[in-house]
Amino acid sequence: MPGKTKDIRVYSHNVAKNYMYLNVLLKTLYKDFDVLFVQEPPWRTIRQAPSSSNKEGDDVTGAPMHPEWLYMVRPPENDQAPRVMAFVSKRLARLCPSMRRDLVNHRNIFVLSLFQGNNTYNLMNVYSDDDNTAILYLRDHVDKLPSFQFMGGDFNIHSRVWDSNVTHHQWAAITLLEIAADLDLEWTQPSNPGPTFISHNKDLRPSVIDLMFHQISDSARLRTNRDPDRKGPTDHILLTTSVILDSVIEGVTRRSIARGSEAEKAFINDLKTGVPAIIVGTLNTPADIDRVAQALADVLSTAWDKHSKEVCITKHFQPWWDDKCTESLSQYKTEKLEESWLAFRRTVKAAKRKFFDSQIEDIALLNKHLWDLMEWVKQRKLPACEAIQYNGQSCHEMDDL
Amino acid sequence: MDLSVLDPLPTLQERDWPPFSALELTDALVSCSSRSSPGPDHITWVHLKAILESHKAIQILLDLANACIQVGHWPKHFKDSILVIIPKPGKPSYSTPKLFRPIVLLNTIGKLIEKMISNCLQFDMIKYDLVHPNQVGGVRQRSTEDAGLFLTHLVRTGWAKGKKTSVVAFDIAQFFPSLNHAIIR
Repeated sequence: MPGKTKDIRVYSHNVAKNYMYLNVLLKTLYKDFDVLFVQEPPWRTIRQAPSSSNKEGDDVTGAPMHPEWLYMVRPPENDQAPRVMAFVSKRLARLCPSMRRDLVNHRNIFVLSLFQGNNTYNLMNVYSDDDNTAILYLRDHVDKLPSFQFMGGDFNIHSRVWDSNVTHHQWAAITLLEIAADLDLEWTQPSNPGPTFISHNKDLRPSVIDLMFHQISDSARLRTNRDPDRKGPTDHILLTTSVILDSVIEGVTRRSIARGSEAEKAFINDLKTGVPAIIVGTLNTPADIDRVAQALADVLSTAWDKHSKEVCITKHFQPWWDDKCTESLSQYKTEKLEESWLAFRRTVKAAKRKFFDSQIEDIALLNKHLWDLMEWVKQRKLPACEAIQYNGQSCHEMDDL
Repeated sequence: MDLSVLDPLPTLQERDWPPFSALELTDALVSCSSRSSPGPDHITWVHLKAILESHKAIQILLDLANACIQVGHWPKHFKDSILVIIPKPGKPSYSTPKLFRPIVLLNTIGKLIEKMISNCLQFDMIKYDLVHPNQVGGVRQRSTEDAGLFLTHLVRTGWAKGKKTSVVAFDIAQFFPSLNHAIIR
């Protein structure tokens, strides 16, 4: 159960820029994983937002979002789409998930830090292209990096160390292992070894290029798996693992009374009987005022404590998703055919269109709250997932602020 | 430099502060939004409106409000607050404090009494002509448009007299927090 564990469940997958499939992953994985490390995320124009300088509106670009996940990505520079990003479950909110561009600011490398007590856990998501850009960068900067608890991703490096079909162990692989050692990491062989990349081109043989590194690989081995079932329409097999923290992860909870609920009615009734029953007496000194104000506050808090209940903070789900989408997705999951994937895409598109058309009709004709539409047309909000900087230094502790 | 602005203001004639009436309380309550978030006591305006359907409850609150003014004391419950830090929308990155907007949520009962006091002050301010005609901020029924109108009027007056008019505008950042506290008092 989330909230009672020390494990951060990590999922790492090269989704090959498949927008719809990443959307499906976000929707289906939030119960099973805490961190999704995505390589080659889709990055496309989603819609236009009103602009003060451009009549056509400014493009809103990005990857899919989901309310259960914190969307973390380094904003693109020079129109170069990001190659790595992370989705962090809102369950981890207490750990203050932070994107650490102060440690590594690179298109192909994403560093996520989690904070628990005095401990900092650093996790790295890497996409290394054919030119080994990420490896070269890490080699030059590794001495400035702290130690890491996890590194994983699509390294595009072949070596006999992790792939029995390969005979060589060349420069890039050697450098990668050296970098890992400098970060206090070792390569972890999954508990079910095998290829992680199965090209759509049938002439290419399957190979191992997606890797995971842990601090102590022996014990991590049992927790690290290849998961061919969730491959979907992509050509990479994803890897799953977990990173163990020192203490239990606390969930974010608070007390609440739902609006319009029976509990709220009972709460209001208690207030309606409690407040008029307060004995006012004389009010001639500050102490008198404090006494009455305190009596009032006591009535309010007693009623609140009696009727409120503890809830986990979650956000609303994707409201357009309907039964047909679920059905079509499960059909694809059993058949694993391209046609059923395309059928699923059509179903989702139709469901979205139906939902948004009815929303627009509601707003245009029935309630006339035109401003409610603004949420859809504004530029996307990035979550506040980076530390505040002061004099170029990131402030991760209360004292730093 | 002319420092006469810092001189103590002449004391005006003291006026009575009449006790609040139930109508003042209900008037102040009607204008409160049912959608805004409550303070640390979780009492929203909807809840408070329900409580104050009872005459007994209205009387208790009026007694309390009048006593606060008479005694000159503001109880702690009215000062309790939650500070919420909201990231300003649509920023590419949130690495400087300026990209956040803190808001404070106070308890609604205290806010209701504050609204009643504010209504009285606004009324007296105009009735007894206590604000400078050039002050536009913080006065009901006056807005930026009045300031703009006043400025264009001055410019056009200049033109009508055949003069060249120009405007020097300056903005004092963080004006209120940088004031000497002794002057504010």
